[in-house]
Amino acid sequence: MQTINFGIDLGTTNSLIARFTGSQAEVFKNPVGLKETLPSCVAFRKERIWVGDKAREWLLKDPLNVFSSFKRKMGTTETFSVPSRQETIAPIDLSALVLKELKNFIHTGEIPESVVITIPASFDTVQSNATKQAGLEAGFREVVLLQEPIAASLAYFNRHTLEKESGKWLVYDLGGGTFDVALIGIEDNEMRVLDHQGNNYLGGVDFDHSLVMEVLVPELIRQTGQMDLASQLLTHKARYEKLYYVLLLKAEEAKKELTTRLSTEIEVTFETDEGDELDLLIPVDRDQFNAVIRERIDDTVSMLETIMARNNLSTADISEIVLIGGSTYIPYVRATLAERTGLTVNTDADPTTAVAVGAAYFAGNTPVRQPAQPKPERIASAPAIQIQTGYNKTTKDLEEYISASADGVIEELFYRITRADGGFDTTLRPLTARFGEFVGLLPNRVNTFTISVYDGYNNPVPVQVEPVSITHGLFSLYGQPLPEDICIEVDDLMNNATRCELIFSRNSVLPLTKTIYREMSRTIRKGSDESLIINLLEGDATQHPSTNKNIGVIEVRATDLPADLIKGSDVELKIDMSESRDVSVSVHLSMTDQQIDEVFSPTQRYVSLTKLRDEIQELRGQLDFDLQKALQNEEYETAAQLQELVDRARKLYEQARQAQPDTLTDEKYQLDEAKRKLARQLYTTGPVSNRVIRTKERYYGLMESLQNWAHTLQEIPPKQREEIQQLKDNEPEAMRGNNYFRVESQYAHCRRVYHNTVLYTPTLLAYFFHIYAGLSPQEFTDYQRAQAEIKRGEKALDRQNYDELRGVFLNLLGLAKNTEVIETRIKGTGLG
Amino acid sequence: MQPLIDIANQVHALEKKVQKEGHSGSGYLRHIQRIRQSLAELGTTFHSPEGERYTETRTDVEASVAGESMGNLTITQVIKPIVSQHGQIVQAGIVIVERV
Repeated sequence: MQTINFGIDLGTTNSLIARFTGSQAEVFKNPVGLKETLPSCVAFRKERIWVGDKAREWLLKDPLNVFSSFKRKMGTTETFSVPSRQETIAPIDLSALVLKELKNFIHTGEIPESVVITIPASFDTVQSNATKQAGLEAGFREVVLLQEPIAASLAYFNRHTLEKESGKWLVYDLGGGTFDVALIGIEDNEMRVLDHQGNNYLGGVDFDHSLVMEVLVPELIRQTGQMDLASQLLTHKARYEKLYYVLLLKAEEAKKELTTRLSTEIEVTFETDEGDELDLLIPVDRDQFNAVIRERIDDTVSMLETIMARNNLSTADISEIVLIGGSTYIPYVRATLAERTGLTVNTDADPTTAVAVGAAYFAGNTPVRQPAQPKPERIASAPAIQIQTGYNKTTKDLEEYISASADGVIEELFYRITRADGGFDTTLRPLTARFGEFVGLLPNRVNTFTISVYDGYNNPVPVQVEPVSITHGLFSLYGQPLPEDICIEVDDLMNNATRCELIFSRNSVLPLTKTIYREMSRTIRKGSDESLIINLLEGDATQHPSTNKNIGVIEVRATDLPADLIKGSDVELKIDMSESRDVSVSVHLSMTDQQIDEVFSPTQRYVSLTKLRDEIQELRGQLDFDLQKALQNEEYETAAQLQELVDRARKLYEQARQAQPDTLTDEKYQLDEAKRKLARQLYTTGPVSNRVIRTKERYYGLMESLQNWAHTLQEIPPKQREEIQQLKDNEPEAMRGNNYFRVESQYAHCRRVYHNTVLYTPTLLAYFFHIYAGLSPQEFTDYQRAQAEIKRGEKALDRQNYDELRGVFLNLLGLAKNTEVIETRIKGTGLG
Repeated sequence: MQPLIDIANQVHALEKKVQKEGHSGSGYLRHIQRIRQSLAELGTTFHSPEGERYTETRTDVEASVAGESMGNLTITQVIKPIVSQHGQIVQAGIVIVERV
């Protein structure tokens, strides 16, 4: 059975559209601003018709051309004159415009042909038929009407008409501008509206206005002495007209806050007759707000009581009151209803969307009576309309003109241009062979616009048109792409190394600005010989820092610190790169509240001797390690190459150690150049390239074991499983190409996961303990101590005490030769 | 999503207040900038359109027009900023518009 599925709450103040999705209802959101509600308001402004929020903006300023609350006039002969168009329009047409606009909310691409539309309980046959007519005018072929209180009841009592099998209840609907109360009952398995009453001029907007006039204005008069404030607020173009709008918006905010809090404050800037600005604070509490709305809420409850009396019902005959409309969030409303009626107030459903949700539930259970007809050829076939556009692809202006020409059958069609972020909309305009629009741009980015075409029912029509992309401000006279990455050097404590962190990527267009936040990776004691080093580099951010060129170094010496820089404290770095590639670095240390600003010009290169020595030392350590490995593996040719590099590194370090920081010669620049050359040989060419391949082989060997274990050993702890998965996820990126730094880092990570998996998985721990226990005496540095550990381990194993076994195993590892190489810890930058 | 929008609204209000009370040169704005950055890392950015030109086709703001509604209109007061999440506007700015 094909069901209707789409339900529309065509409200007096706001409208919504929802779809039944098989088990629940989805309320669609406006693609512009992502609100669920569309104000039922239409504005005719010059050549454009606005529906919704944009229309409401002009309600007070252009009242003759803006229409709202027209639902009240449905089914009457009344028509509205539209001066801006010199024509008249009927309430049905206005409702049809709202319904058409709601179609834009449907993000699924569906074009509903059948729909359920809700109507007030008070609508008579003529008014109901008028609503149906509006639906047909909006392009729906089949319109099924449903009374609003029934729809709301479906939302509350969960989806099916028969879910609640008997009884009577009240539906209390207090919205933005209208109030309705209805008595609902189930008779012969049918849910019916038994009675109803309402007030078309009572709702949330009245409460906001009253809060302004009865609470805020008297307080403002008290604080400022401006006795004629009330009249100055409400008169068009009067001195305080703007203040009225501000107060109205703030009153609405305060009203919302008072639903969850007992008091709030409204801040207002008041300009005196003398032109002075006063910042005023107006406290508002819930009691004040309750006093403002009390009389109106009492009226609503009286209407409810009237219905009960009229139907000879006592509270015992009514099961509960269900709430609809945003104003029913107000605690006073809920409390007054409960106190005065003694009935249960049901707040289970969202009162704002309940009617639309209920309509969707009903639609989901109502079969389509008029099956879909074949679509007109224009819609069913490939795009018959082509649009060519012309525009400036880059601009410095905040508005740009798009001109377009359309080919194909374009009569009675409309176009609409929207910006991808939802911040620009032309609304529907008649499609002509040539058309154009000024479009608003967001600064310093690529602005993408979509041109869509619709038929007279606001159904999308296929069109062949490229998206429009206009880049604002990113290119300038000097604008040039960066030839290399700009990065800073940060500590990589897990790998006992440093690495590059990308600031600006290659090919970014100047000027550029970025602020990054890092933490101190170690504590730097005030007055010690340590320093925090901000090392700005140019080169390949994926490579080791020592292979890249220095742009500048900021060295914050411990002797210059007013207090210790504690590990974990924040370091803020703001880096600006101008069009002429001057680099400004601003460092702020939160711990000491110190700010250091430096500008590095591309004509000078900065070299820190401290940093240089540390880097050469790190290179030496790495080369020594590689050399030992090569010798162990009897790779004598590689070892010979490495030995040469080791010798060069030693010599270089000695030169750097003896160099003076304030020397007038360019010795330190020469040393820096030599260091980078050495680093490039180590990390990107020479003997290391073979090592990358070997490292990859080792990595895949370890990963194979880890994955086998993860597959076969249930006892592997979840944390280890997560780490194995994380390794696997990172693998494609890390293993792509032969980047020494990435491959080594991934391998080091893998080794740590491997070790931890062994240590925390009992079966593996026991297995590896036995392997080490079985090593020959020559394979330990101190066999006597190893034997004692082995005995202890065997006893721990007997007792299945794996915590103790873990300690024993680690001791045994420490006594075994060639299991772990303790690397010299680097000094690093201090920046984590 | 709503809590992030609420935070953006509060940070915007705080930023306005700090600037208005003459603390622009102090460290307050640094902390505000930091919150902005953290929000941006969560995909939420916000922008105050104060001083920008207002046109009817701007759907990034909901305007109340004070005074004369014809001619060139400018956004003169921002009650709530424009909030975007992952490049999509999730809260239109609430603004006052005037002919300046």
